[in-house]
Amino acid sequence: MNELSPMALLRFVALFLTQVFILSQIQWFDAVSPMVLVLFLYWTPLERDRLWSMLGAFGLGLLTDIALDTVAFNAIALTIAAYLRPALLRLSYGSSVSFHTDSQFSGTIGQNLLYLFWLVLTHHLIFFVIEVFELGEAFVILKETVFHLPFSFLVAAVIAILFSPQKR
Amino acid sequence: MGRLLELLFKWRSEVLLIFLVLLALGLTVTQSSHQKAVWLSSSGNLMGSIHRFTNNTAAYFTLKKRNNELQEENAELRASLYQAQFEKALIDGSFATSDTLTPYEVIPAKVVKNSVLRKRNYITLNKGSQQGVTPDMAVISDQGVIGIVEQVSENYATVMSLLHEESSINASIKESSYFGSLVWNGKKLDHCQLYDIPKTASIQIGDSIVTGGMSSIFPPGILIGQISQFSVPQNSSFYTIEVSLNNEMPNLSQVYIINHRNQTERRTLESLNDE
Repeated sequence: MNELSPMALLRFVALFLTQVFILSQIQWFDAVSPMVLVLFLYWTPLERDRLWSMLGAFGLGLLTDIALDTVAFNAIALTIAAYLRPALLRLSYGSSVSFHTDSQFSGTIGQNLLYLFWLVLTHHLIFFVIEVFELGEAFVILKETVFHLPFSFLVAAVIAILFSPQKR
Repeated sequence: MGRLLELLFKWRSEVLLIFLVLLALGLTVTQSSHQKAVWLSSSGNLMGSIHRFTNNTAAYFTLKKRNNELQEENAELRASLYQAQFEKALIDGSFATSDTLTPYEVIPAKVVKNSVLRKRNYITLNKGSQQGVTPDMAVISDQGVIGIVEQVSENYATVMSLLHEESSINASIKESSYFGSLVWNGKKLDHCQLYDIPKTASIQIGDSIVTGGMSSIFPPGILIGQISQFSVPQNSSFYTIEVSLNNEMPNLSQVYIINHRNQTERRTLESLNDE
């Protein structure tokens, strides 16, 4: 399943617009804006080729970075998260997860949220590593990640639950 | 080529990841001043470390050459030093000789064999007649006296060690003008005995023993060791002095052969008086 589906394209555009025009305008505690671009990976079907996922994630990240003037932080974070997606899936759904099933939404809500959590954590960690860009400032990286993570996860989880396809 | 493509295809996800991340990092570093500053600083440090590592590695592999160069330089410095000491001794009147202003030539050498367990111990050096070594040249190390060249082949020389029962070297107490003969009684590897110092001489334990100016082989003033013990045997007018050697005789590697250039002339002249 490597052809571009209209639904994937729609999600791509919708996520871009939501992040740029709505979520980035929110400044909780004058500092925190939820970042939910990883929902693109969350909704990407399991059987989607990893290369396509990475290319899509990179494109979405880069477009968002251009719009938000974040250089290429999202592009790097989303690309790496896309590369790690199979590992995160196994971590959330167990090692028996098959990459040939239709989608990951056959799991329990807990598993789905766990998977979303790993995606958000991976994205945020890499995002702030690139933003701070100094490993000597590991504390700042961790602080920023921990500070943003709950808000991003909360918003992403709400959107995921509201807009996810129904279980079969 | 086909294999390379096969390999790239096999690792396509990783190749794409590296490509995309590098692309994005390139954008980040060129477009953002903070990231650019950190990158330049880090890459400067990294390159500095790499340069330091390669320089250290290269220096390690040229150590032997550098060591030889230093030994050559040391030899030249020693030759100048002995010459200066020699001239100073002449001016001070410490000893009289005909070979004023005669320079000493110093040849660096390495010990290739060293025996210490016999009564007659010899040392083999890696320099011979081709390098200008002849019998009766002095051999010293940076710690002190080693012995006297006895036999010479084209590329090797054997040295009669201080630890040889027939060895006898003109030696003096540094702080005085008394001369004696330094010999080895064959007992301890780190001790020799100094005889013929009259008991009128004032000596103390710890006094330095150096080569004497009477020697036509050794430049004067080269350290041999320190007095560790002394006594005057009954009915004798001379001390028997135990000298703790400065050199670790079983542990020798770099040495210097000293050519006293006017040695032959001096000996010939002195032999005329004997006749």
